[in-house]
Amino acid sequence: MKLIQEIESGSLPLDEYLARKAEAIAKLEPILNSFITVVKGFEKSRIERLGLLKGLTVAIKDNICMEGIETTCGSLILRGYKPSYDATVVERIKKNSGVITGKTNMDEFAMGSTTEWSAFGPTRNPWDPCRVPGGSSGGSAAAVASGESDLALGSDTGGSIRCPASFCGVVGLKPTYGLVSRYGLIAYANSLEQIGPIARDVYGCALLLTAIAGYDPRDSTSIDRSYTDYRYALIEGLEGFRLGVVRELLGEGVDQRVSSCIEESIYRFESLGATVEEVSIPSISFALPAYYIIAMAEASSNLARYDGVRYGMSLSARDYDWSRYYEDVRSRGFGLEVKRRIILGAYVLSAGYYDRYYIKALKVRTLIKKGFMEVFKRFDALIGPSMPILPFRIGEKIEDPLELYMCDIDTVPVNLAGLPAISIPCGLVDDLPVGLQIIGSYFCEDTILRIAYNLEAALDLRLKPVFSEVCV
Amino acid sequence: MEVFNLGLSIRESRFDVKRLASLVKLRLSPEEEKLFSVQLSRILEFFNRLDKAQVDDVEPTFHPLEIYNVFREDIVSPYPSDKLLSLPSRVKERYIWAPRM
Repeated sequence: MKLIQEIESGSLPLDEYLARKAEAIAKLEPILNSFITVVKGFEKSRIERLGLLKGLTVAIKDNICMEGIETTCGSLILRGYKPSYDATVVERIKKNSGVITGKTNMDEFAMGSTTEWSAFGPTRNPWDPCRVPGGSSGGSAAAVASGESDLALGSDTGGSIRCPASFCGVVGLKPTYGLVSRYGLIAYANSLEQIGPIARDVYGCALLLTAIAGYDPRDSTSIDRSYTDYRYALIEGLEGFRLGVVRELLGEGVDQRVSSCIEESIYRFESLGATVEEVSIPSISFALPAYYIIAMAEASSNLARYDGVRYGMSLSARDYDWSRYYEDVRSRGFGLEVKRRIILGAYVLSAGYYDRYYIKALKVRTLIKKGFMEVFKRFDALIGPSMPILPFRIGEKIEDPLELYMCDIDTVPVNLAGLPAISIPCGLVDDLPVGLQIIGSYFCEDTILRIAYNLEAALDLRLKPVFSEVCV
Repeated sequence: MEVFNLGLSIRESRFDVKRLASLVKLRLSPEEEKLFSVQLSRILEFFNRLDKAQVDDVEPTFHPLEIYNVFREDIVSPYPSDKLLSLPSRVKERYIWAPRM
């Protein structure tokens, strides 16, 4: 990353760099709406000793807690909630000299793939403001693509990092489940979600992942592993790498123009020395219903905590009966998509339906996990599109929830299995970016970063959206 | 995870949105109720695709990686109560207001 060298060498003084970022935000926010909250005076941050992140700006998705800064999850029900502590990832970014610019827009409680379900208005795609940036981490991806921030954190429950990374033409990585602490991440579906980095290039992604990854005793699902500096994974050449193209990820419903970009990348991989073969994981055909059943079940349970008493929204009448009060707060505080998922989640967990839906979905999850493990005996990584379609117009699909769920077909299998995956830009179609997805085996982030790094260099796309302050 | 008993029969074909909503403490507007009756039934039909999956001898996966209990030393580390009491919007004399039971 050229920026880091400039900051380190002193050719770009940190205060000048941060002032530029504040200007970019002031200029672009009226169009893009990437942020729910911008941290006041971030441009005046003073850093004593430049750590790993060298003062680079980092935007944080608004479902990650930051002490004293309003954290809403894109929902009215958490409006006014200022956490009393930093999430582990926020703590690590601060410790590594990252400058936090603000809290980014998202679909309410991360439920969505367009960022249109935010209570604070939709984020717009920097490539075409009439189009969605993807979601649910749409604010983070738009902020990075436009140069409002150089790095960002998203969270990925069923594709919420990879989808907006693909739609905004940036790099986004969903880590192996357990690699990054979820302490301070406001829960939607615990067994599926991970926090991960978004950056304009693979180096930035590796850098931010290095800063946030690692064991945290405050998250009981955090894995105790030795420290890795992912920048050292960025090695030139892919000789001997075995890549599998997953047939089910390129099946029905994938836009032909997206498939063509993926095919072009396959040629590049071969010319870089990798062998590429088609592979099939039949159980993936059941991934979407299984994912939505599990995610809604966990959401229904997690979102039971919002009562309008302990934090966030409250109502003023004093003589409320408790049951009516909770109903009123929750009915006013939650948006349509959240209500849909809470109701369906309760349904699939109810006696009589628990085995038919919830347990069955968990059994399908076992098949999908086994399917992946079987093919990873023969391949170093798997590839396919991140999203089956190009970024669509704001309002185009919002009326039909099922149609929107179908867009997650290529991303959800990874979350069900807990695997790492990265989305990187692999081409433009009609001036809209297309993302390629590289899926690795457990804790093989170094492998997928290396593959992405080599493709990035080979394609040399130098992307610059219409609305951006990015120097290419 | 808690299993709710909603008193719904497995044979019951109609999706009772209003009753389900009240169980998860949501009160739907007539428009929402109408919208959800159609949408949620369609989503359930989509979930029924799992009927074709062959999973008879398969164990369920609750978590992607093996989960085990994590213990810490039983040492009290106090959390500043002022910080906690700054969160609710209504606090009186260090008590959090709650609706009448």
